[in-house]
Amino acid sequence: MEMFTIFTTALIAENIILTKFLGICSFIGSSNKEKNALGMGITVTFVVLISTIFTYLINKYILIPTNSTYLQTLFFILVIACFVQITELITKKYFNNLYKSLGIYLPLITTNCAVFGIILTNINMNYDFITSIINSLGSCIGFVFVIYVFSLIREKIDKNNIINSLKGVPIALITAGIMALIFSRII
Amino acid sequence: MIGVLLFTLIAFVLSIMIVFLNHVLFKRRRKVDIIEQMLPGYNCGMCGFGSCLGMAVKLLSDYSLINNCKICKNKDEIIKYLGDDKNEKK
Repeated sequence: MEMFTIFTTALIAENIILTKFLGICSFIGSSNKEKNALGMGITVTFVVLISTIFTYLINKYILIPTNSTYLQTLFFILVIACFVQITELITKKYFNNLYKSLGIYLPLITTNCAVFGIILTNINMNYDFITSIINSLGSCIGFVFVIYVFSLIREKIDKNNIINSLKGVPIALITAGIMALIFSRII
Repeated sequence: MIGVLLFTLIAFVLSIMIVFLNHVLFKRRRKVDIIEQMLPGYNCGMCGFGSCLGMAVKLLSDYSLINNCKICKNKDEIIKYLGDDKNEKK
């Protein structure tokens, strides 16, 4: 039951994009098309899940026994950067179209704060192995869900007549704001 | 102190992992480089492919195109390299 609570909390109430406002860069940047959004979501999910496993192991078996938790940030960024590189190589080899359409946003997952945020939450809340994976999975599904819905809305908006100065990113930001209001139960 | 040493060690291991993966995934690219080095490298464009790199890419699929190159002297060597490669695949 506790697992289920953590999962739904990470998925909806503490949604990584619309409640914590992490990972906005890739959220705005790669949600212009439905396919890009799904690709970005799946890539981020892959990176987060693998880095969660590795950072948990590194934190438990290397950092805490050697009493060097002050190196946490460095270690975690190293692991994230490494797995983003590996994901990039795999995407370049097997999903070349996705690689081309995501462009700069693919290597930028390294600096995507959503990834680092999820991992730090896992460590700071002292979750055990299974719980941290459940938390990461919930956050990532939340990320994919929001970015996918947002890309559909943006595609719909682009077809309509809107004021010239609001076209593109400005209207996307306004839409994101309204979605965030819904998620924080104001509307 | 020991944390810093471990950090260096892990960074080293991870970087070797990435280099190895790059090596495995992009073998074809490396073959192109080797063939390009065997070609004269004048980029004269007489073969019709613009540059020696373009020629090397085309050679991977059809090595009879080597006769398009007017200046190349080590044609036998290149054909042998490409032929060996095809046998390996079989």
